[in-house]
Amino acid sequence: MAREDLTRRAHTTLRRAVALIMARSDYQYLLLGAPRLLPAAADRANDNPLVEPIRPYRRWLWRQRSIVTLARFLGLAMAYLVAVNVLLRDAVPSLPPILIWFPVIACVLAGAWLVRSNRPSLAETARWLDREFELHEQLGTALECTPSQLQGQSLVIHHPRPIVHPATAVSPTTRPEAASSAGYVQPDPLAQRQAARALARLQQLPYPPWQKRQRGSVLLALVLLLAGFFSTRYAAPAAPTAAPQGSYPLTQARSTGSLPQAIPTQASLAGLSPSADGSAKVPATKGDTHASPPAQSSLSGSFQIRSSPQPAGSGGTGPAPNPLAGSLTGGSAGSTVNGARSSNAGPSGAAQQLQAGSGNGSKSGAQGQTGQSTGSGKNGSPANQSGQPNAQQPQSGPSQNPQTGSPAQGSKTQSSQDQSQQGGQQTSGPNTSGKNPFGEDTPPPGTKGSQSGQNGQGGTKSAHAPAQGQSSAASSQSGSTGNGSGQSENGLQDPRTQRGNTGSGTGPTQNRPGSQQAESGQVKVTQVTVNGKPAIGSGNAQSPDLVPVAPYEVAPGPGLGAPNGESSTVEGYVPEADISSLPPDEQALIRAYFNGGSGS
Amino acid sequence: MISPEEFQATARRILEEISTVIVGQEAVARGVLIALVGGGHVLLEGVPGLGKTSLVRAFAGALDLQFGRIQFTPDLMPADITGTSIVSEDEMGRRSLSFQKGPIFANIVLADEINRATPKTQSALLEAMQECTVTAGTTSHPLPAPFFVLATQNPIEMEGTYPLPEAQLDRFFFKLVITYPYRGELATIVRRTGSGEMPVVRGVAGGETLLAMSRLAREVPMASHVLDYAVRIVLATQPNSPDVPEVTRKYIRIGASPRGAQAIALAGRIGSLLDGRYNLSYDDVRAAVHPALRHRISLNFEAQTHGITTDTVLDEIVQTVREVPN
Repeated sequence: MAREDLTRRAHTTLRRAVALIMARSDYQYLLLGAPRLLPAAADRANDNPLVEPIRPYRRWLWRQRSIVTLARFLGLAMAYLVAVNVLLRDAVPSLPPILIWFPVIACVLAGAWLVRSNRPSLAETARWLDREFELHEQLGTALECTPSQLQGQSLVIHHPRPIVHPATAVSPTTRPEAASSAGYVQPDPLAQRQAARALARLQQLPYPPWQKRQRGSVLLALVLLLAGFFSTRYAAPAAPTAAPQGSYPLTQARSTGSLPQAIPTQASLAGLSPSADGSAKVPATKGDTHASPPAQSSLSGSFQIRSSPQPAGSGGTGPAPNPLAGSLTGGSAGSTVNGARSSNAGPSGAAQQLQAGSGNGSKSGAQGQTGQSTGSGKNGSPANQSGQPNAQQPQSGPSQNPQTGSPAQGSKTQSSQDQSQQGGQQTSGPNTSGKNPFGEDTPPPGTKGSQSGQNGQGGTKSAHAPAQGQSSAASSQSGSTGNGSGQSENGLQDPRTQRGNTGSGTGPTQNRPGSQQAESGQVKVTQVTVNGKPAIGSGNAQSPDLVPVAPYEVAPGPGLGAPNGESSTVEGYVPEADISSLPPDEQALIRAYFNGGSGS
Repeated sequence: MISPEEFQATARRILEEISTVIVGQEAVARGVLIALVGGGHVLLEGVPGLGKTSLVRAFAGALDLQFGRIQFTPDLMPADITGTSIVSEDEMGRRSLSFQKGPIFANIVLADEINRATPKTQSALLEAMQECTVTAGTTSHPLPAPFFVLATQNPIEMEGTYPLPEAQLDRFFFKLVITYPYRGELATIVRRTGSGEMPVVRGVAGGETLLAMSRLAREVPMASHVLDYAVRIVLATQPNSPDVPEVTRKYIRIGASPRGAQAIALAGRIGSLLDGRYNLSYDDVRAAVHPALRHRISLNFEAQTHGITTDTVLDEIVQTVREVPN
């Protein structure tokens, strides 16, 4: 008894669930089936003359319901994919693939199972036809109440008269002469007559019942499918996999196959070694990478690395002289933010270099990259173009500002802005060397140059900035801006940068990740640009133009400029073509960056 | 065995004859016919002057059946209805008790203003209505078949009336409410009665025909899902049943009995035949809900204070109960 009750409850629950799934469709009530009170045995009466004519409708209904069910389950699965890859990506960057794909597969399997298990019965089909064509339950009643032994021929309404006319039809029991007529074959008793009429009505029904197609469901499913596909394509990478420390093969970059195997390590490269002065070093924690280009002249404008975030509070220990400021700038706009902390990195000398280097980056400044030529209007223009759409995020771009054309000033655009939003901790930072022809607090709207000019004033501006607690927002904001410019210039769209995960500001040596990430202490963003192009993106930014250098968090070793060999992990991709076109020393630098000290 | 076509034709003829006397009130006449075909009794309710008695008389005439009338009054005794045993003396001078049949021994009995009699007298109809017999002393006397009680009552006049007990109300197949005629109907009534010549109703069907129609109606196939719908509607009127509508819990004191479900099913079958169909449908069930259940549910005090009628409650129930259960 208890088992029967349990079965009944399970059946009811299942049907309610399916009814919920099929809500607002034309087939919802079909799922409810026969009432439990008096189960119909119509399906077992295969010799019922109504069975065969109803079967085509049954198949048609099954197809329609299958389409609706599968479309909705696919839509559910794709919506889940979109939600996971778009909405939860930032919150949970390293979501295990099983959590992504298992619900999707489960949805599809559940839909398939429901399609198979909820095949409409003949009784359901008959009732659906009754309802659809307003037959007053004729078919359902005839299918259920007609004696199974009744042969179809006995119900036949004679062909010369396709339909029994109720007003003229007579019973052979009361009108024998009518029974002898070819025009009348009247079944008796009443149940047979009812079945005969139902059969006649059934033969008049169109097939398929209607031409209604599930265009809406199919379209929705396709849209969600595409959305899910693209969101998956640009989603975060899979869970990080461990890699051997210190021996990460740089040849992962396909282009590097032709490159010399001798990889300059951080220690071997000039300028990459951490400063001997502890106070000048930026304490790097895991996930923290500090670019310390060895030579500004050689690498200036060639590439830029935006390293992973730095934990909150890690900055500020002191500026780290960064001779590579112009060439290898790390950190996103967010990192600039960190500028609040990493501004520390900027002792004046280094800061000036950095500013000079990044200032060049009128172009890259818009992208959050270093410019290639100092104050060149050529470089500046693209930066401005790219940066203009976002007037609120004035990037570097001193080229437009002749007064700020000095490279040193331009590069700080983002950093200054970041600083300004970060609370001005960098007042003494490298930005202080910048010049602002428009005044400290009056950045010309929409003019990068002017704002880059402000970069020099960044310290001042930052002094007016709100509390440091806003650094996260500031970093993310600037990051997105920089990304936008980067896209415009490179023509590459890094979805991560679009999402503002990567700061693109040309912060000086503060090649730090976004403050948001920095505060969380997690490595999330690293970007390397080669020739002004975002060469290294996030782990899952699998652009066809990029080749993986190292998966997420698998490039071991200390970050460039990281003192005391503290581990730093990076991720990213390097375009094969670009890296092969670089001078060997730059290639070596890139390799060193990702190698993390694996020999030179 | 009568054919469905003959059934429909006979019913059409009866209703046409009724319409010669009764202007309008087609739904009431159809309801009375359904109840008569179903072998049930009808309680007609309406204010005075709407033709309740005339309707019953017209049916008696159209069906060519024996007609008896009982005017219920407060001093009416049960024996006045059922009959009584009297002492009779034969030719030999021997005396014996013989049963003198009352007015209830007829095919169609008009119980006019039934709620004016005392409950004791009203209860005299219980056995007759349910078992079609009358017991006097130790002898049961069968009533002629078919036997119908068509009772009328005035819902307005409460002074000196005795509401029918639930047991007796439940024995009525239908309770039909006669409403005021529309303007055109009223004009026709005035014109027709003003001539001084009352139309005569011809008998178009006999008792046998009516019984044949009743037998045919009981053969109308009824699918399980339609029957389930009728049953669920009846259960929805019972406040103690699970998953009943809120209106039931709030306003109904006593729900419909199984007789209600029987009445709905049978009335639906007859209705389908009248409409030229051979099976019971959801529409037939819905059409039979109000006349079959409105006198079988009892509202509580809250409903009465709020002016809620049984028809209002039934409307809500019909709207709530779905054709296909969840």
